[in-house]
Amino acid sequence: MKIFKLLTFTFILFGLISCSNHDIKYKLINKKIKNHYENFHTLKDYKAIVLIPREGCGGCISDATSKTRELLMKRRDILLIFTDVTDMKLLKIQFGNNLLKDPNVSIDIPNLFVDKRVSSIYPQIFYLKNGKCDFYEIFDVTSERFRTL
Amino acid sequence: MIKKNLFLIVLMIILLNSCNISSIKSDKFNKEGVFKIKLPHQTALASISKFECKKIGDSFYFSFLDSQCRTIFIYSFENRNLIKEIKIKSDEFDSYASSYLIHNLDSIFLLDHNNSDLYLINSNGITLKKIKIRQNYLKENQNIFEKNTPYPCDNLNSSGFFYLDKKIYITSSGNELNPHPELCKDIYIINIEKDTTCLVFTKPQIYWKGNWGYNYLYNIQLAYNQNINRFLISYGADHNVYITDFKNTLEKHSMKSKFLNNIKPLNLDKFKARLTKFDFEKYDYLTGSYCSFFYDDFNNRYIRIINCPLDENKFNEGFNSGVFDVKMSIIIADEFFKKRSEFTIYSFNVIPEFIINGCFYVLDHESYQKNQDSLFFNIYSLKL
Repeated sequence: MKIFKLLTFTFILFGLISCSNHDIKYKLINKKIKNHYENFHTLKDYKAIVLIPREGCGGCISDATSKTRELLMKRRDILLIFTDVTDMKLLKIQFGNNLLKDPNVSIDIPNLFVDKRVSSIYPQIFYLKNGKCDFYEIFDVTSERFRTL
Repeated sequence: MIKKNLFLIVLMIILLNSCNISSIKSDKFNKEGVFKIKLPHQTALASISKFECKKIGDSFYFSFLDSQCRTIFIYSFENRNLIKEIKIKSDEFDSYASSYLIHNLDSIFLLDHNNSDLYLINSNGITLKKIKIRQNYLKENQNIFEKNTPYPCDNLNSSGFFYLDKKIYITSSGNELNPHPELCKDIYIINIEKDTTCLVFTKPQIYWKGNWGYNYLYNIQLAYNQNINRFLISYGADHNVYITDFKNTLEKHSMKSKFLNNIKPLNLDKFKARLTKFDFEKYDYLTGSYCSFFYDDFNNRYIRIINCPLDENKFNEGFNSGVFDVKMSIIIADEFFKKRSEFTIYSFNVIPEFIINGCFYVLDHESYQKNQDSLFFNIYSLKL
């Protein structure tokens, strides 16, 4: 009985700690979103932000960018941010000026999202509610959350 | 009031100069000029896998491989004109993890790191030969393969890919955590005529005991001195440089850095749980390592570049920001390996892409950011 209580207590304690770490990450993501777009109000009509790092899993990045480009042609409620961009010329060669001039596409020039607490080598998607991120995951068009967006 | 303003002006000048991270600031270097190359419109610096500057016949040629457009661009070093664009025709060749070596303007070797393939192509980019390096082993090498088989890879920083007398010599990577380092051989020799491969050069004894991390301390550098017809091999954790013909001759000479007095393997007793990426990186940076090695044929001397050990605070700052403030050291030794000089440099990048006529050609990233239609190399000579 004592062991059971101890295990339950430990489980709850870890649960609380992990929740708190999770909250911190959401706070950080939203802080960076706010810094990048200046305020959440301008994002209220958007459903998601796709964040694509320029350094990381090359195949994933290339795939995510081409999928997002297709998406942007069909729907205008998704935003795209390129982060960790070390060579603008390469970005233009690979994706063309038209994509980069699209108002839904932006470059994270100060590298706000290049932060180990937030960044990933894989493209990520931040789902928005009233301009704020309420869920995030590795960007995958087959994910259930994305399919119901 | 005047003194206070003067102090602020001096401080501003110091701060403004310290922002220029591309230039080497040292009384040991003379800036001789800038080597500027006009980039093709379809090429960006970030897509360039490798640079080479090589003498073929009486002339020098500068070249690079663009992974994105799968093309080798060759320029005249003298007048900087683009003279050839060689589009690689093979679809199998993985240009994103690759290297190349120009034998002459109609024979170029390509190394596909991911697939461990060596190609020979002509000036039209057509494959004349393809060798699967990790499969075509000579019979006498068979017994050391399987678990001890590294990947041919011309490694970090300087060159590890040579052609000599119908053979290709390539350094390797992948034996870092092998449980039997005394069985590991580190240099591939590929016979182009017979299409055979062998592995030579047993890993030095310093590596036979202990875990040396995952990366920098295992770094292998290969250079060639044509005056004595010998290869030179430098390792990340080893003070010695080895001189060999890969047949009967092996010598070693110390080219020890005064900053690497305390070079030791990882203390595994400290780690009860599995080692993380952070642990390995911390070990690499706090230990320091030998990184690049060059033979300067113009001055008949050897150059060894060192990553000096970082203190823990600076490592933590670097790990969080992604930029490490590493002090580098450079050793210059004469043809007999007598150390002539060792000096430190506080600069983001002192490692030359190549050394021509005794001068370092150091890529200037900052200038490229301002003008992305050209490449800029700052040219430095050493004052000793």
